[in-house]
Amino acid sequence: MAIEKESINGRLVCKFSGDLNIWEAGNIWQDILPLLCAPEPLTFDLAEVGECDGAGVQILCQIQNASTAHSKSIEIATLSQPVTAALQQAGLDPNLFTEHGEES
Amino acid sequence: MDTQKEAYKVEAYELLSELETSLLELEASPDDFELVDRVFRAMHTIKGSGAMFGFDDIAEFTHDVETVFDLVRDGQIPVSTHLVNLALQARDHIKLMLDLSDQTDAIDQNETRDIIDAFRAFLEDTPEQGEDEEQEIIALPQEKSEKPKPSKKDAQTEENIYRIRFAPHEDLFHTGTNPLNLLAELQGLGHSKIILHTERLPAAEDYQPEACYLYWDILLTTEKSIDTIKDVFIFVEDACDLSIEMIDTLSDLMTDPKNKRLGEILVERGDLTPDLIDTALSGQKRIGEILTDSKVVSKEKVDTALAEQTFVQESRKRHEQKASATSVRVAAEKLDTLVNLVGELVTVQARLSQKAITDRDSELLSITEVVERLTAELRDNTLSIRMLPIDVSFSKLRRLVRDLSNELGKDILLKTEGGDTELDKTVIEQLNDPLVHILRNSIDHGIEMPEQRQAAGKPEQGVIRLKAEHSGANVLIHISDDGSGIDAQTIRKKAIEKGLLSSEAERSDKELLQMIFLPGFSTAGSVTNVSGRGVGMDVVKSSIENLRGTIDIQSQKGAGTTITLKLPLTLAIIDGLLVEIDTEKYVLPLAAIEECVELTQETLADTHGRNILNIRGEIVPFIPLRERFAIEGERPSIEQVVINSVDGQRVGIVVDRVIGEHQIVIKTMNSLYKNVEEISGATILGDGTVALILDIQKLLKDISVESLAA
Repeated sequence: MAIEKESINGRLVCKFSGDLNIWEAGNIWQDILPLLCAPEPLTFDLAEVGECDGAGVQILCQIQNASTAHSKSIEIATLSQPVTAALQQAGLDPNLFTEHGEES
Repeated sequence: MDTQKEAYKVEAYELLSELETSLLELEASPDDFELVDRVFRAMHTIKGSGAMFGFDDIAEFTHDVETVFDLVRDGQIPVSTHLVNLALQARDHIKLMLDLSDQTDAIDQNETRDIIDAFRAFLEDTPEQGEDEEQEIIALPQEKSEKPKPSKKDAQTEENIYRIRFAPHEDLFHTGTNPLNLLAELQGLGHSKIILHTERLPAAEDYQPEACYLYWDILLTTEKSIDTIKDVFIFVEDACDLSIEMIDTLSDLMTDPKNKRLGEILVERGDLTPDLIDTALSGQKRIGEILTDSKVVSKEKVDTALAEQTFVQESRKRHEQKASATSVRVAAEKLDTLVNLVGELVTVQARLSQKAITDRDSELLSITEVVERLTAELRDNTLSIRMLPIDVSFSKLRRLVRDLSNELGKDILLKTEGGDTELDKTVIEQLNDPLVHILRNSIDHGIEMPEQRQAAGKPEQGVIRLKAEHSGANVLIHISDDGSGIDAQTIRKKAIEKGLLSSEAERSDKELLQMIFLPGFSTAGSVTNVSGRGVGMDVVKSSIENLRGTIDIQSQKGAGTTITLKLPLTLAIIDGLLVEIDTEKYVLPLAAIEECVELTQETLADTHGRNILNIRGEIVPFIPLRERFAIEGERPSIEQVVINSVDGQRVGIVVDRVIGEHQIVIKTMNSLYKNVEEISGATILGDGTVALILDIQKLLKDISVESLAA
């Protein structure tokens, strides 16, 4: 999993590519945690994410929780088809998940 | 068990038919997830029921196909022509396995292996599957021994609603288990609502990404037993807290119309005590708001309880809809027996009416009138049970068009219209072969190659239209293509070559086109393995005529061809005209009759033995039935000529008297009479006498051939 970061109009846009699964969860969280703690508003672009499993869904839930806990603006923009399918399987509505974004 | 196996086969054949339709639709709309679901469900049922009823080979074979389509559902494998081709091949193979289920040795194991390997290649090519998937493939042979044995519980048909709490231990991910796969498996068991709980997630700083904090409540409406549900979690039972409770049976739900209230659900689930509910109820707000505001229960818990309440309400609604659409599967033979019995009843009722009229018994007459009305209603209802939408036949043709056009390198679109038009089951069954033949001709000789079409200024894609519509007591089926059409002059040339037409004979284009229905006639320049041998259109015509239908053709060179089939709605009962010669009674099918005219001795003398009549300036040949059937006795001074229209030709049938219109229940003739071509059946009249039903087409066959060849 690689995260490409770019600052656009004061927001840090993080573009994920690769898998969002249990095998990658540790590394991904290590990259994400400092971003969540930083003051800059965040946008996560998940259009290029490959496999997404329960651990991946859990990270996305954690990102949402962090948004509420830190009163921080965090948007999840585009979702890849595997992410959409995983969210649906977990019982979540992908459209509600990307309140500010669109599904790819 | 044999009965169950038969039931499985019947269901599997139906599923395979639906599967074929879904796959062809999926090829045209690869993004339609509903279609992917339909394909998956069909495979899932074929596999699951196959294992249950002892068709282990089918269950094993279907497993990989199902797995691939599960990944298609997840968006991990895209829908491609290759996948659809392979799935259609698998579908055909399953059908073969069903056909040869009594002689499994006859199945080509190499073909079975090739198809399985091709599907496994999809799994290996799926990068997202990673090591998990590899393990799954390797583990496949073990699955057979692990397969749950069919139990009586599995066969239960009553739907129950279960509440399942699946709370994985934190170390679940360490075993490599993806809980989403278990949820997907649960979803396959019935209608479900999955509610995710995230409240166990710690603060970001304390979060361990390899630990599982999520847990789920699943509401499941299913016919499956609790054991089947437990089996889903069989490999993780030590790595999770699992509770499965049946919260309602739908039958109980239907007898007790009261929906559970929110508080009742929370108490039942152990989230609240009745006392806390009572305290909270003292407020004015809605119960959910009261409970959340009182902080006796979290908002998330209230939301999930509300979700459960909604789910149960929806399940009830769905069950009501399902109950209203309940159907019963009845063996076709039983329906045939029922139709025969109704036929007998119609006959007896006619005799009863006749008796009441003869005896002038007014009381009996009023009773017979009621019996007559009820019999007519019973007859109509019984016949309607046998009716099937013609789409049953159309669906099979979609595959034919797809495969054949691919084989010939042509781009052809099949458009169907009026698929819901209903026809008698027997007619539909016997219609398939003629339709296949006509379509093969259209594809092979009608629609041109893409480059030829382009050169002719037509779109590269050819179109074949199948349209069904009602026309009185008949159904019309039009098969039209926008291909090269048939050149009437080519037919003329061929007919002269074959000695079917003299070079001087003048024929209209319409008459020339009719000649393609003569035996051995073909205008195809080359014989292919698809068509062109001239064996076919005459068989098509006789098949349609055997169904008491007619066939007509219209074609324009360069613009296309339209073949129209006119078929009766049913074969069991027809409207007929009862006629008499001496004391013998005959029935002429009313569908072909145009009018009746008188034939006096003077008019007959004017014909000079040529058996032709001048009707309003038109010359119409006639057949004196008395002579044809060698019936002795004196001719009446005025005979009746019943004018029929057959294949666009008007021909008269001369009889002594016309008695009137009758609804005729057709009885097939004993095999002793099978060679009597002019008679298509018999019927029993009200007075118990038998009337023969004339086959006009056969009766006029000699005249038609003679007149065409003249």
